[in-house]
Amino acid sequence: MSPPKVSSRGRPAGTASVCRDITLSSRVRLARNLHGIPFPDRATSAVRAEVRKQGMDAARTELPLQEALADSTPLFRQQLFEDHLISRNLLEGHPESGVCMNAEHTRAVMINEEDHLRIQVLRTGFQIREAWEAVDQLDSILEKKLEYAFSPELGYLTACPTNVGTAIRVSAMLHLPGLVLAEQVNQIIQAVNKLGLAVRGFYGEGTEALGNVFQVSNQMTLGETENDIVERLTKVLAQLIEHEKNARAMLLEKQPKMVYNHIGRAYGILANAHSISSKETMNLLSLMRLGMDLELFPGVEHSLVNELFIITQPGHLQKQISEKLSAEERDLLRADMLRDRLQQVSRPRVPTPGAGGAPLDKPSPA
Amino acid sequence: LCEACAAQKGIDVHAEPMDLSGMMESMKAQLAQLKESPPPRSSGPTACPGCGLTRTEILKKGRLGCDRCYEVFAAEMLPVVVSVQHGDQHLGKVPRRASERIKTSVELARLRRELDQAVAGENDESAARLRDQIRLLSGAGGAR
Repeated sequence: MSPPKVSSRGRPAGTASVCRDITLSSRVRLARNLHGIPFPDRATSAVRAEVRKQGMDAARTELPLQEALADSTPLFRQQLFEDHLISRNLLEGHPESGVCMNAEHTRAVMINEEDHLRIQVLRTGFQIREAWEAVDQLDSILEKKLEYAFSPELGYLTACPTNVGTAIRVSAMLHLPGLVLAEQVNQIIQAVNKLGLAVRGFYGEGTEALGNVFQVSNQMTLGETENDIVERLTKVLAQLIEHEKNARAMLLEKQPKMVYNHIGRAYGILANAHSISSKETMNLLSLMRLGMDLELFPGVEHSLVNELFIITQPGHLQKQISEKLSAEERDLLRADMLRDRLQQVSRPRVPTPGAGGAPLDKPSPA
Repeated sequence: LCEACAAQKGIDVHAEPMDLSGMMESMKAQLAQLKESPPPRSSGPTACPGCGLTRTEILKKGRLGCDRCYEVFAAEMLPVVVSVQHGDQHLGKVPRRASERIKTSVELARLRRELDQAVAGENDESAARLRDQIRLLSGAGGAR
């Protein structure tokens, strides 16, 4: 395959397509509680066990994979967490907690988290509306068998008053390496906060943005319809994607060497390391993904990086060999796996200066 | 993504910018303030008959114990809830098994908000249509 075509401004010709993978995934979750039964933190363990039974019964036809968390192995629980199917709260919470899933792991109900039920749908890419429609449908199926705690004024009642009303959280995972490299991301986060949305790290509340992945979600749940909330988030996400595209274009224009240096080094380490931590892997995979968006790795599918993102995380890594490993052992195994998977990937093809591309970085104004 | 651009793009900008990552903190601060103040004059029950949670515990944790807590401690909780939310009335989905009265009351609230928006946007045609709908529904459901 020939090197990417380069425009007179030193940008790969395919820049227009760089936005296609900025939104990694979309998710919508609804919080629901059962009428007249104390919320999980206030219930006795017998009551929680009964709630779990009722929840599992109601979800059985739609979500046939059902696990009582206490009966599953710590490794399995860790994988569910890494897949964003269960929260840290559920992972570390009540022994009577449970999870119901479909075979594809795209729909799930967490039982006895902060609320009796946390119903969620995950979709790849920018599919917020589709995720909302699917979770709405799942909720309607469950409510045929369950009586929810609901008030005509406050809507669905939840353990935390910040969730009442629609009790909906709509979120998307955005990959924003351009804004991070351009040092604009904090400014953007503040602007998004002012619009009534929250920006968090990769694993939600209180986590850091590993691999330049940010979770954007609504905060307010009362006083608007679900559709209003979905629409607002959709508009803001479209804006964020536009900003990320602009940041990438600006970086390629003004600091191409800096960008190519980051991507080249990321590839070098990932393809050649013999020991590498999960955090470093995610951050470097993010840069490699940016390289793919910029068409520096012709012929390599995004799915490779997506897969590596998941399988190099501690729980999934140990699943491959079905045993628990120390952190040091995991770092060795992770590096082996990365070297193996990246064997077929050639180093990034950066536009050559002779072709009018990859000029030196422009000096920044003093 | 400044507020002016956002407004231009039709993204609803809240009049009062707030740092939402601090939403929980702001709520907790309000609860702490309430804890200092004496119980409301009505001096209703100090514990929820549904789950036994006390007023002090709720104010300390910022979490409620069951659905009845919302009624029992309405005087304390409602202002706090409203201050961290977009409004004070649910406008979203209603469980299918809810009574017709409840369905109608939420639907009326939704129509009233649409009417407010139509009036603010000087959309007379929509406003007239919404008024008719509201009149019809209020008559039929008898709610409010």
